[in-house]
Amino acid sequence: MLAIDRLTRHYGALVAIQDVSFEARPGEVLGLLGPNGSGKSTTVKILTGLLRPTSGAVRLDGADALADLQHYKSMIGYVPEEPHLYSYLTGPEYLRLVGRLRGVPERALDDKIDRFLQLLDIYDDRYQTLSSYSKGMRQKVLIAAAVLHNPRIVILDEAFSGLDVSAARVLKTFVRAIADDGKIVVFSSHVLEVVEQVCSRVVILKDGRIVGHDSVARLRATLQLPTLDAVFASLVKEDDVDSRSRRLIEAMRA
Amino acid sequence: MIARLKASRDRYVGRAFQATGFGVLFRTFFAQLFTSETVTSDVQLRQAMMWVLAFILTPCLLILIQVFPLFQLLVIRIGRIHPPPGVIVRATAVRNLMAEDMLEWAIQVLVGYSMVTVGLVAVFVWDALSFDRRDAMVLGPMPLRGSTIITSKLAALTAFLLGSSAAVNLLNAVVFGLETSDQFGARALVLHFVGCLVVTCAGATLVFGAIVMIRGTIAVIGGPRLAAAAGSLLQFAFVVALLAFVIGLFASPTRRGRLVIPTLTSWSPTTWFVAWFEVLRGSDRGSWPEFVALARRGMGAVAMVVGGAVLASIAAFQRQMQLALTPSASPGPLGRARVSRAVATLFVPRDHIARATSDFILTTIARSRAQQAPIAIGAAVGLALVVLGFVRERGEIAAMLLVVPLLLAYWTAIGLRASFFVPSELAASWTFHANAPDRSLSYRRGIRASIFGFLAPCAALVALAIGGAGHAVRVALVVVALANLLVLTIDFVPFTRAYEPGHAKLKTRWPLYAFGSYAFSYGALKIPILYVVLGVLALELIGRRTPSRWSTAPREEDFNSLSAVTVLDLTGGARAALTR
Repeated sequence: MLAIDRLTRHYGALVAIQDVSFEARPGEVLGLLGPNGSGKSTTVKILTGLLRPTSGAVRLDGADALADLQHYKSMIGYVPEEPHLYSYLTGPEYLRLVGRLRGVPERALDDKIDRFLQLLDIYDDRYQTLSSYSKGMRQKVLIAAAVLHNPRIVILDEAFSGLDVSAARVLKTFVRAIADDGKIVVFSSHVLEVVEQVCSRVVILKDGRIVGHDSVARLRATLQLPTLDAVFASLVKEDDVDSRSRRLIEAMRA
Repeated sequence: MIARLKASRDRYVGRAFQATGFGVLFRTFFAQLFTSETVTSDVQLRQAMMWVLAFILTPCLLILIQVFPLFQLLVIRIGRIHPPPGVIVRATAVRNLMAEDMLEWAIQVLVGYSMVTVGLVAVFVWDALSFDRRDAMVLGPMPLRGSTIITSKLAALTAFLLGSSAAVNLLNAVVFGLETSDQFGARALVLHFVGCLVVTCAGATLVFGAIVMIRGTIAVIGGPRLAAAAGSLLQFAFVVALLAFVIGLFASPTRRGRLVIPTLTSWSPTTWFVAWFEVLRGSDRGSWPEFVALARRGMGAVAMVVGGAVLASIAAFQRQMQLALTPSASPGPLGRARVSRAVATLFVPRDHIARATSDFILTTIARSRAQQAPIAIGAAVGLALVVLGFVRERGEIAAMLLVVPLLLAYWTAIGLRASFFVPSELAASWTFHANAPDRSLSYRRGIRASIFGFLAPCAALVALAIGGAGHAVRVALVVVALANLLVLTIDFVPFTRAYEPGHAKLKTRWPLYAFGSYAFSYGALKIPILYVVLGVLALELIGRRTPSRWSTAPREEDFNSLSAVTVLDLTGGARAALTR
């Protein structure tokens, strides 16, 4: 089990997250929600070992995960929000690079890469460099790179961004299947419909603090609201959507 | 016991993995030094590399061929002339000293050449010399030690340095060893060859290490924009240095007298390596205290620069890991191109599309190193020709001074035109096609305005300082004529079309460039200003009457290769992708 214990992170005087605690269990998909600036990205970066917390701990099976960072990272698969890739490489070349850095045996690697490319419908583009890939194709490469080494923990940050409908449908099921396989999955997204379909539980962040943490069904029942969208709006106390929309129209006409 | 076995296994597996990680990263970082994300084919890139190699190797071989017969004659005389006793001592001693001076001169040329060429090669791979945000984002989540990443990067840089040093210096060392050991035997052959190779490679290491150190330091204290600006500036400086070096050598191929004079030349790096060469070949001079001290200074400098480069690389890696977690850098004042955009706007005050186009061109140039490189090379060629002009026209300095802004403007314009063909914003062509598809005249005006805005402020200021207001007006008019002429050769929005291999046709078109260089500099000075105005008007009319082959639509082959259409990326990060 992955336990986040009272995580706090400061950037100078700015408090990005404050006393954030939650658990992600094997077999479930934990959703991480929040508006821009809520501390989602900071939490994800701490979870992936990219960033050290100012205080608090990340515990894996009770042990301090960040104490042996290299070992911890070897168990993680991460799809970042921004598609940072070496764009002069082709898709298979990039996956081979990641696979080798992750220590995937050479004999299995090429076969795995071929299978991923075929299953993700990018096999025909295997000789093109990533610079010519669409955002959706790059996202598929990133997803393949994240699970190539069969990680124990999968962290997905806006993983479906840019994907076409059928690919998104396949990958939503795939994310659920990863969890069913006993992995720990953390799924950060702005798309509430997808979170509602994929996640077992959600953590909602606002201004660096947790404002909601439970299963989607229980949150809906507790707040007596029909959808996660309504739950989210209620918890993060968004501005009046209608009023903002009217102001946008006014700006457009000006 | 079992726990100990497990720990031992983990250590072994960890070590094996580290070795694998190092190897994979080494290959990746090494490959980064030979890749370009703006060149559309590997064949094209390899051809470009071959041309660069030929460009930097040929002049030094020509110089060696020119110089060594003189040295040979001197050595043969020392060996063959047998005057009576009493005369022999003095004549032979003088010729020996002359031969040694010439040998040192040749070594200094080779060391200087090695430093300049390897420096040039290094600044051409400027972006790959240090870590960037992408490295941090791709490698940060990997189970790799920071030390593995840093050592593999340093190993890749070392391999690149050794490869480029060998490519530049090995052939020269062989020629030098063979030519200078004639009459002196096999020992001299080995010592001269090894000595030459060691000191030329040491000189290359000094420059390469210094450039890596600068790159790393900028990565730590500056941002990506400062790094880009410094890279283009260094490219310009090294192209100028190489051309000036070659021109200077061909203008004055030999030098007489002592080269190493401790009171005068002790702080010149080439002198340190000349002294080091003397120590290595075990000559009489090599045992003189001042030579030993200078040689030690050279060794110390190389060691310090290498150490500095390693430390700067480590610091740059740490910094990039921190920066990777923060938002992308803002463009900064250098990236806004305020002056050139304002001048371009004066040229097209009412045409909104032309203003948008010139803004796009000038902002992209200000922020993209891919565009800055050809401009820097063009300007460097111009500066080298200015230097050559001053060497040749010693009696007419005033006349030559008037040519300076024109010559620089012409060659910078040639570089600017070349930069339009760098397809760094290929995926952005839809922006123009979707928003204003049929306004080729406006696009043409926008490009012309951007050429004028880019060139005119600097050229006119230099002209004003040199020749007063009248000369500044003449230069500005010539720049307008140049912009009018160049825009006739462009039929697309710059940076948004894939480059067709061989389009530049430099091998066949160079007389045209040479003629243009003369016409827009010396020629433009000799004709009355009224004719310049008429020329501008004539080119303007031709521009309006020329049937337009313009199209903003992505060509079918480009479009097919782009699986996506990307939003124009001026602010540093690809922000969206739309349709497939």
